[in-house]
Amino acid sequence: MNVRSQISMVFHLDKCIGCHTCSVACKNVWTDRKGAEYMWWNNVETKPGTGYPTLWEDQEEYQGGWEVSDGKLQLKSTSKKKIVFNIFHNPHMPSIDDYYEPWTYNYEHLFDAPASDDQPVARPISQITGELVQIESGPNWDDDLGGSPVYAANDPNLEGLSEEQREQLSSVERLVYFYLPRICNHCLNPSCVASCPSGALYKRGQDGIVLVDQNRCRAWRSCVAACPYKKVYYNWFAGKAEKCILCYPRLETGQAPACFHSCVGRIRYLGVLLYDASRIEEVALKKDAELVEAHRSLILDPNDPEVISAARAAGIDEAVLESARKSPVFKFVKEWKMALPPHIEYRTMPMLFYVPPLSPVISSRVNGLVDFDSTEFFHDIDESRVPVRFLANLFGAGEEREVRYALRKQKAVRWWRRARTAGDVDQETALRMLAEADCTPEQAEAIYQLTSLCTFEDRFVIPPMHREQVIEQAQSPQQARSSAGFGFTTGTARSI
Amino acid sequence: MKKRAVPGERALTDVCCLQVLSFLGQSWSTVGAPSHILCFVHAAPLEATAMTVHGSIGLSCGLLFFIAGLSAQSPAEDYAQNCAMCHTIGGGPLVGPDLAGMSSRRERAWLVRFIVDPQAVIDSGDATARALLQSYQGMVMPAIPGITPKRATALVDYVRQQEGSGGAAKTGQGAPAALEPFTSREVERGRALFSGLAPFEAGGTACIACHDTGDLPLLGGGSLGPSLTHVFKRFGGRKGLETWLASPPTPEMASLYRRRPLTEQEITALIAYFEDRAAGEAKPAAHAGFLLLGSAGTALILLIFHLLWRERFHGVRARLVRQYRTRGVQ
Repeated sequence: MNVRSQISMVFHLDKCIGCHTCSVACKNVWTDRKGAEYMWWNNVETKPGTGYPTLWEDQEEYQGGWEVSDGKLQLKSTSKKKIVFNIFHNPHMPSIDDYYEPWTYNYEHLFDAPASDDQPVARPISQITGELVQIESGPNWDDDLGGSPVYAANDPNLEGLSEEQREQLSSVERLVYFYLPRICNHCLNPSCVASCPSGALYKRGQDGIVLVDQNRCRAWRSCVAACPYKKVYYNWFAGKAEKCILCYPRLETGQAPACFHSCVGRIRYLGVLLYDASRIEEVALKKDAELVEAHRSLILDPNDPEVISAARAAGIDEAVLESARKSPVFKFVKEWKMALPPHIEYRTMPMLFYVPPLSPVISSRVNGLVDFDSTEFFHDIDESRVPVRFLANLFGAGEEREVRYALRKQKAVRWWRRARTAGDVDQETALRMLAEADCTPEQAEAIYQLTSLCTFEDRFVIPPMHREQVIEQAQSPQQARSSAGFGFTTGTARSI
Repeated sequence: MKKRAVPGERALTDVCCLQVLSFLGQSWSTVGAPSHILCFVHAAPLEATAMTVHGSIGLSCGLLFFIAGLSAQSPAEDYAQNCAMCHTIGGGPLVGPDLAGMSSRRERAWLVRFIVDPQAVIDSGDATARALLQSYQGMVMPAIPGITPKRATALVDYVRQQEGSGGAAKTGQGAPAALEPFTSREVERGRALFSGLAPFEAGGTACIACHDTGDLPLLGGGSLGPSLTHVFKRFGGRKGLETWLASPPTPEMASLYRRRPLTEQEITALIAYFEDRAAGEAKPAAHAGFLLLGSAGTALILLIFHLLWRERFHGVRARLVRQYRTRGVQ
C-alpha cells in the first residue's frame, strides 16, 4: 500500500443553479491576461450540450485520455512512434473556433466617433487581433439550451438513448437541462502529465494538484491534446501551457479556491482523500463497467488503523490525516457513494466527483399531486426527464448501476426529510424507501446536513499545507533567508 | 474569421513543412546538388540556395580583390591572366575582338574607361560599346577583378607595344585547337564531364550544377548560369572556348575553377560536346518539363502529408453549424 493524500472535490449538481459566478471569479483572478482571454479554467456547461470547447467529450475527434491496448495503458493522442511524425505540430488540437474567439467591444468609438446622424455603437472586436469580428460562438454559447438543434442535439452523452427519449429532452413542457461546472479534475493518472515531452507537468506530491512548470514548458502542447477534459490551455502570448491550479496560493493560506469560495449555490465541497497509489494502473486497466467501483476502491478509509500506519510510514502529516477524517469529499464519494467521477472511461482517474442531479419527474399525477403511493418507490427515477442512461454516459462509463444508486439515495433522503418536516409522507414509507436505497436514518440526516445546512467549514476542509516543510525538502531556507520569498520571482521567457 | 497562430492552428503544419523543406534545400545546396530540383517544391529552398551561392560568390570575389591588391603584376602577366583567354593581338577574334589596331580605332580614354567598367559604359548608352555588344551576341566583357584606371592604362600601353612588335601575345594561350572533327567518344566524354558522371581531375564542380544544354535527362541542368546549348557559336568556336575554359574570367567561374583548373583533355572533351550540341537540332529548354514535374512532385508531397495526417482534428463547431444549416430546421 502506497498511501498518498490528495485534495479532492465534489460538485453537487442537484444544487447548481448555473449562475457562472465560479467562472467569473476564476476569470478575474487568473485568466484576465493577454493570451489567456479565451481560457476558462472554470466553466459551466448546460447538459445536454456540447460544452467548451465544442464536443470536448468526443474523443474520436480530440483523442484525449487513455486507451487499453494489448493489456497496457496507452495515450490516445501520442506515443513514441507518433511523435516522430507530429514533432512540429500536434494534429489533434482544438482550434480557436472550437473554444471561441474572445471578444470585447470598441467602447472608445462611443467617444471618438465623428458627428453623424446615427448614434455611435460599440462593435465587437477580437481580443486577439483587435479587429472587428462577427461573434459566432462563446464559452457558454449553448447556455440554457441556446442553439440546441446545433449543440444539445449533438451531445455525445445522448449515445444509446432511444429516438423517443431524445425527442422528449427538448419537447415542449418536458424540456430539461442541468448544469455541469467543470474545472481541472487533478487526476490520479493524468494524461497531460504523461504526454509532456519536456516533463513540465507534474502532480504535486503533498496535495496532488496538477501543475505546469512555466520554466520547463516548451510549448509542445501535447498536454492540450492529451487532456480528455480539455482543461489544459495554451497561452499564445506567453508560449506556455496553463491550467487550473486549484488556487494553490489560496489553499496554502487556508482559503478555499476562488470558484469554491464564490459558489452561490454552495454546490462545491473540498477535502482530503487518501488513496493507494500502487494500485492506480491496475484499476485504470479494468473494464468500463467496473471502473467507477474500482476507482472508489482506490480511496482509503482514514479511520482504518492499517491505512493510518501506512500513511504515517509514507510521511503524511498527522494534521492531514485528521483533515482526511473530516473530509466531506470522503463522505460523498466513499461512505455514501453518491458522488461519481466524470467520464471515468477516459481512465485518467479524475479526483473531482459529481453528485448526479435529480430532475423533474414525468410521473403520473393524482388530483394535481405526484402519485407517491406507488408500490415501486423509485419509479420516477426511471421516468425522470433526464434519462438515467444520459447520466450514466456522463458519470458511469455507460453503466447505470452506480448512477441509479446515487439518485435513489438522494430521493430517499428527500422523502425522509418530508416525512420529518412536511409530514406529507408517512414515516413508515420513508423508512422503507431509505432501506431500499441502502441508507440508514442516521446517514440520511448526515446527508441532509451536509447537503442543505452546510457551513463554510463543513464544505471546505482544507488541511494545513506545511509549506515550510515542503520547501525545506526542495531548498534550504537558510540559503534564501535574506531574499524575498521562495521560488522564481522573475517572469519566464517565452518558449517559442 | 481569419486563421491565427493560436492553439490548434492548422496552418502551423504548413509552416513547419516549409521549415523542413528549406532546411533540406540548404543542406542539399551545400553538398553541391543541382539547386533547381527543389525550386518547384517551394520558393523558400530556392531562396536559401541562391543566398548560399551568392554568399560564396561574394566571398570569393572579396578574396580575389584581396589577392589582386597584394600582388603588383606586370602588364604582361596581367594580360595573360585576364585578357588572353578572349582576345588576341592580330590572331583574329575569339570570344572578344582582335585587339590589333585597338589604339588607333578607339580613343585612349575610352579604352581605359571601358576596361575599368564595361557594363557602366554600355549602360551609359555609348554607341560604340552598344555596337560591340551587338556584334558579340550580347556578351558583356567581364570586369577584371580589382582593376584600377592605372592598371587599365598599363594594359592599353602593353597591347599597343605588342601590336607594334608582333610579340608573344599574338594568339591566345593554350594549345592550338585541332581542326579535324571530334570523335563520338570525345563527345560522350564531354557529356559525362558536363553532367558530373565523370569527375574533373582537379575536383572542379560539374557544369550541370549551374548550366543546361537542353539534352540532359530528367530535370536537365541548372538554371543559375546561362544555357550552354549554343555556347560554341557564341564563344567563337573551338579556339574561343578553349582559351575561355583554360582560365575562366567571370567572377563566378573564376571562383570555382581558378584553383581547380580543367585539364587540356577535359577542355577538348567539353568543346567536343559543345560543338556537338550546337550542331544538333535546337531542342527547347526543359522548362515546361520542370514545371510539370515540379507540380506533380508538389501534388505528391501534399498527398503524402494528407495521408499521413488524415486523422487530424478538423474543427468541430463550424462543422456542426454547417451540418445544421444544410439539414435545415426540423
